[in-house]
Amino acid sequence: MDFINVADLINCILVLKSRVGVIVRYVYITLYSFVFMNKRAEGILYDNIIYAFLFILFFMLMFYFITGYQDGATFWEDFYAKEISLMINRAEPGMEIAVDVSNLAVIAIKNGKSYREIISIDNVNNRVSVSVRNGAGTSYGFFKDFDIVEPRVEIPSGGATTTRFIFKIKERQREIPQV
Amino acid sequence: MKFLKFNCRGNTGSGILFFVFFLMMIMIAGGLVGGAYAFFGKGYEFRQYDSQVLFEEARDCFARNNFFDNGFAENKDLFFEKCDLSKTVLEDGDHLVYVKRISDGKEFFVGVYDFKVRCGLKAQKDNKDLPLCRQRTIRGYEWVVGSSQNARRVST
Repeated sequence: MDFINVADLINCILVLKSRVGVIVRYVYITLYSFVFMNKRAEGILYDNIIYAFLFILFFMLMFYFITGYQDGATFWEDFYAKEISLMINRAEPGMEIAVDVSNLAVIAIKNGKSYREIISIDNVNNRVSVSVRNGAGTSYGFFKDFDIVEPRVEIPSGGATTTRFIFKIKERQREIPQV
Repeated sequence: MKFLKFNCRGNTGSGILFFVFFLMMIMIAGGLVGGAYAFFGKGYEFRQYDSQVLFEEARDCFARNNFFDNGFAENKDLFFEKCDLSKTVLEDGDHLVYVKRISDGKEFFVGVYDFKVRCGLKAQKDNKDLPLCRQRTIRGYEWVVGSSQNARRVST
């Protein structure tokens, strides 16, 4: 017949009390460590935060760089900005020039940009800007002091493979200084 | 309970590991940049064309207007007007048009005068910040025309 031994019961209570005490101490120390961190632990935490920050920054920069070269977008922007500025520098007033910009149109449409916005002319600062990406582009200066009028991008047959940039050259209106 | 105590001695190992990761990142970046560079090349070199066209425009304009004999050379604004050239672009620090009449040593220039020196540097082709130039002596006139203009990234 089994019956409760008082001595065993007391012993059991004491053991349980000591284990609870251990658990309470574990919880207390853990909370204390988080709330009142010591300097050494804090240092390691900051190291890890800085490391994570640098890591994210690095990959953001790499991502930006790689997306810039997507489909050769950067190269074609550079190429057309310079070639169009060359045409303007070689042109005479009264000319109308049409340039095939199919490569640009294909990339721009792929990037979700309207083909009408891929090339713009700044007559104040004499710059040609080409952009086939949203938010970024490439610009190049032309030194001939002409006004570029009626610049437009046209797709005659409705397909991106026959896209043309058309513009007219006009003499700039100004007063000639006296000698 | 030892695991609850932060181990100070681990700092050295952690620090060394950081440099290992950093080195790895540099290697990956180097590989990507090298690959892109190998595929796309140096970009579209245009300084030589720019200076060539500018030289031809300026030379024809000088011949047409007889600048030195008419006394136009003293007035830079007149040069821009007569030649239909943009003052904004030519004086942006990336161009030089230099003409010297050898007989009397009379000079005319617009842009960066120091390009006369930089045009003679051997690093021109590799360093895109240096100008590529046209240097000619034609019918008693010494010409130095240079351009270091590169495309700019703009936000749209």
